[in-house]
Amino acid sequence: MRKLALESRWAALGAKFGELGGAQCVESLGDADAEVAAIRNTAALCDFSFAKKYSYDESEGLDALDAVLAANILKLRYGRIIDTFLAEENGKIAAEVFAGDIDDKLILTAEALGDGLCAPLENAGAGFEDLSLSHVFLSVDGPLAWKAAKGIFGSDIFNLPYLSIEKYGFEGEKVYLMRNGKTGEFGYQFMAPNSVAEKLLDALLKEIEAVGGRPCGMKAHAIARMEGNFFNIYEEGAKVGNPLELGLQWMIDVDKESFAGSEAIFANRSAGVSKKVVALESGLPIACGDNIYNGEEKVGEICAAMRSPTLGKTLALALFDKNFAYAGFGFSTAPGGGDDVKTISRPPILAQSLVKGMEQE
Amino acid sequence: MPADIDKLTRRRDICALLKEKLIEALDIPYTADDIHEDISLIGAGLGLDSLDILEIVLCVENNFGIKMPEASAHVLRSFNTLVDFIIEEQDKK
Repeated sequence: MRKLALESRWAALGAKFGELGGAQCVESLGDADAEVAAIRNTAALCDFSFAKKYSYDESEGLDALDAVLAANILKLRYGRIIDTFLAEENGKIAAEVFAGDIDDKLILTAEALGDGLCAPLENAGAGFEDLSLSHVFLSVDGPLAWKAAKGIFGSDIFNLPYLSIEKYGFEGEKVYLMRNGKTGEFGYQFMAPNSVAEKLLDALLKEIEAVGGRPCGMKAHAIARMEGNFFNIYEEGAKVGNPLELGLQWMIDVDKESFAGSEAIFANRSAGVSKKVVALESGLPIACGDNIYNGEEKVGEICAAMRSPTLGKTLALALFDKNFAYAGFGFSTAPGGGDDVKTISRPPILAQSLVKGMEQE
Repeated sequence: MPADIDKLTRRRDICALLKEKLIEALDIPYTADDIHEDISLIGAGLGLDSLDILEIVLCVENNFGIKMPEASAHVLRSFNTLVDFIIEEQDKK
């Protein structure tokens, strides 16, 4: 299993470790509710170094990656990031990929269901370099996350729109800053070489503590991600697999001739999908695999479920018969039972970042 | 208790009409089936800009006879939150 470069530092902070896609991750710092609250109210620091990280020469990398990724990578503009996916030949999603264009390089991060599934990205030639072991990838999320980014790199960070990437100097090394949050709140990711990882961790811990924030594990981040209406490959992605049923059509350039898995995906698109993912809330502790009924008829199955401390109830995603996959309706977890779950519109929360924005001094 | 079919049909019809009109107004390269009801309108998802938002406001006002609020960011979080707003406003009439 791929280990975190900052494992001992996280252990000293009280981390409980887990695994995501075959790589070590920080699962929690012992209080998931407080960690979610930090994401929603102040700023939380997470270690996303479990993600695969790659660099390519831009000149050749664009064509090489366009041949395998679902989005049209040729449309990627300087300083911007495209959110897309890598599929297996059978059309099932293998990795969510964020591709950024900066400084004659393409910088990719991939949240993959397994390191081996990223092979098409690693055979892309084009000055390919695997940064997965040599770099850390730290994320600060929350309505005050921008203060942490500003504290490290200054007011220039105000020029970064959502889904953008910039290069900065830190302790004599090159650090990539990406504005690419997945919680609904402001989110900044820092990709830095291991040589300055501890110093960057210390600097970010100091910044988030200054705004009342705290370090956070991936369990809390997954809750915030579901609350914020962001796709999670390790939850619903792993369970459902089909990008069309998951509602990821927006990550695909439907005019592209081909990409990895395109034959299966386009055949499925032509035939039409009969199921789609819908969000549910419930006062019950429902779990992945539970069935959902409309009267006596089974209409869906839970594919991800967690308790949302923000909402004070269970928040879940279910793969539903598309005829019933609409928000605002009551269903049951037992055949012929009463309405104990309700389909809802996502996102079920109103992010503070959307309400308050960046209160620039 | 089985879901209220009339209510479900109403929401389904509003979603279908809104998708059709948005695809037309925004020149989106997708079919109605490609647009998941929970798709984000701003940022990730459809990634619409401020001009597109103006088109959405006009599209809703012209096709559903509803006045959009001046500060509409909370309504425009996703396609579904926009549909919620349309239904809520229609019910007030």
